[in-house]
Amino acid sequence: MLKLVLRLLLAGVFLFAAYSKLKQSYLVFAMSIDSYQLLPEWAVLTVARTLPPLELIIGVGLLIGWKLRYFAIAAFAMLLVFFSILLFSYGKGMTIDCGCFGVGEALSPMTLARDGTLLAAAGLLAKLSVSASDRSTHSTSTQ
Amino acid sequence: MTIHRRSFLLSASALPLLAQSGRVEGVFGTRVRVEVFSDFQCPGCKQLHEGTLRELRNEYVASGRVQLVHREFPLPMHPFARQAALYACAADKIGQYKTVSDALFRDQQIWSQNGQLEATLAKVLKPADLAKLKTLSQDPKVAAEVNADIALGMKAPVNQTPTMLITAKGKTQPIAGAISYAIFRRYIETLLA
Repeated sequence: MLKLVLRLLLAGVFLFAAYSKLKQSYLVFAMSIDSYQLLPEWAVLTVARTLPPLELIIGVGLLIGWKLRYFAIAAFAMLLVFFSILLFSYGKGMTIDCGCFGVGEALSPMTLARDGTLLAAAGLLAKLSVSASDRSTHSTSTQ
Repeated sequence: MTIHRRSFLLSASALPLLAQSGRVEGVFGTRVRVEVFSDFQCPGCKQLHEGTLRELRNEYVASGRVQLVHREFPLPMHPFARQAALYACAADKIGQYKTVSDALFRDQQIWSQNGQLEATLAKVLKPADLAKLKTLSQDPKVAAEVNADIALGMKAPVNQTPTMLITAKGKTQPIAGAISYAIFRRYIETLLA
């Protein structure tokens, strides 16, 4: 039950994040990424073009539940990168747009709390999925 | 989406008030309008003002393709920001908005520490103009202008500084942060295409 709730929660978040970015020009998202001042222009443009489709794929994967452990690990890895960048930027005192769900959300302790919670949820889902997969493999091999 | 449409209507209706102002650069009726909400004490605003906006001015505003509008949005967390905004708006009344705003951003690190805004202004204004500026900065009409910009920003909504509201093709897109000119230029080009 917990696994299902986590899976649907994360699927919803990833799908909404992808939708909010894909509905506007990729350059709007590129400007959000650029405001972090971490990447050169070519990398900003590459991330702006590839990240939203990647979020969409992960969102769909989580929603369907097929090969769950891989999608859960991918979601955890992506959220870990996001959270690290947010934490680093907030620590530097940057007053920037989070860019998490399109434009308009200032980076704040609330953003960090939300992303931290999502990271924990993705970590738990990944752990549960990997354990379930290991149990399934073990039971198949002992039969 | 609703927020974007509402901000467009608000900014469009408030714009005629600035028709004769140095806070508006470029001609009216351009296909793209960039309204910048900034705080003179915010480092990101300084970066945007001295980098991206300078290049935008040279490449697009001077050629009449983009209109640039400056809005004051002093944040409560910055103790000297409101006074700086009052000085800038007062400077507009004597035709010195650009001179004063450039000087305030240039010396930001100095007056942010000691609060000596007038020392910065004295570097770029004649003593007579500085005296006028001090008087004008206490005028309730100048304070009302700053308050009107803040109210406009709050309704847009502007959540942080700097924030640009970019209006083109009947839509307003908020863009926050000190973004680089290279990326911003690409976006402006798509709006002008």
